[in-house]
Amino acid sequence: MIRTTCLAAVTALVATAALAHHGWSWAEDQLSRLAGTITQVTIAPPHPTLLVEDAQGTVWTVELGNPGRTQRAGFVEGTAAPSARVEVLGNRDQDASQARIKAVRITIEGRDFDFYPERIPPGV
Amino acid sequence: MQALADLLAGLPFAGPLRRSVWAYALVNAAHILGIGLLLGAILPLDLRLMGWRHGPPLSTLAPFLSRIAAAGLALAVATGAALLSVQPMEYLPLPVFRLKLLLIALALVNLLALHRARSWRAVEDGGPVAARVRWAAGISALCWLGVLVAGRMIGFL
Repeated sequence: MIRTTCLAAVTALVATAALAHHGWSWAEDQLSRLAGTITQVTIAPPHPTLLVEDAQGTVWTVELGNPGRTQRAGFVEGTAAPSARVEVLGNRDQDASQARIKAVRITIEGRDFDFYPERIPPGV
Repeated sequence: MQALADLLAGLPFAGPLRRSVWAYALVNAAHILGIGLLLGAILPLDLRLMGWRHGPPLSTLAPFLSRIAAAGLALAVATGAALLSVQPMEYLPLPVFRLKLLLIALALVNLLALHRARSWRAVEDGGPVAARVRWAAGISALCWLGVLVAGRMIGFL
């Protein structure tokens, strides 16, 4: 019984962790906006990410598209550097204690990078 | 650790792998191929050494499967180092990644010790499988399965 419970707990933990990056089921349905300053750019595969500090000082993990989508959106090595301002449109983690958002679009100096154009409603 | 990370990140292919979607994905696929060859060869051999009766004689199987496993290991190590070079500090500090390296080291010590033993030569010559060999086969199977699971967990923990 205890073993089953432990196993279930580990499975749940692993499953939750695995959901980040992949798919959208871990994220909220509605889009959110986040504005802040880039503190770190990781373009390397398998998971391109930005760290972004908002006005309250919270550091957000911003997941970009997969490496192929990120590249096709025009976001490549050298596109953005720390201390640049960025606006993120994306889906936040359902767990509000996690400062994590999956970006569908980011905007830097007026330029849009659309990672998931099909998820951006018309007129946004 | 930082020195090792710098060394890996400074490898000539680290930059291209970091920038190219295709290169990274293909090296990743080759890493999986290496793991497939290694586990696909070593597990049947270990089972056979542990007493599973079915199949061709061990004097035929042992040298053949050992060599396939060695080739798979070489491919997995080379491609693994390349994948690691993309973001060494993302992986080197992870406990589960260190566990993976430890298990690989254990498996290698086990295999080097076995291949030097007289009882292993007896198996290759078609002789009986000594208890020493059966134990080593069990340790081998556990270590490589552990390496597989620890490796997969890197992406999840």
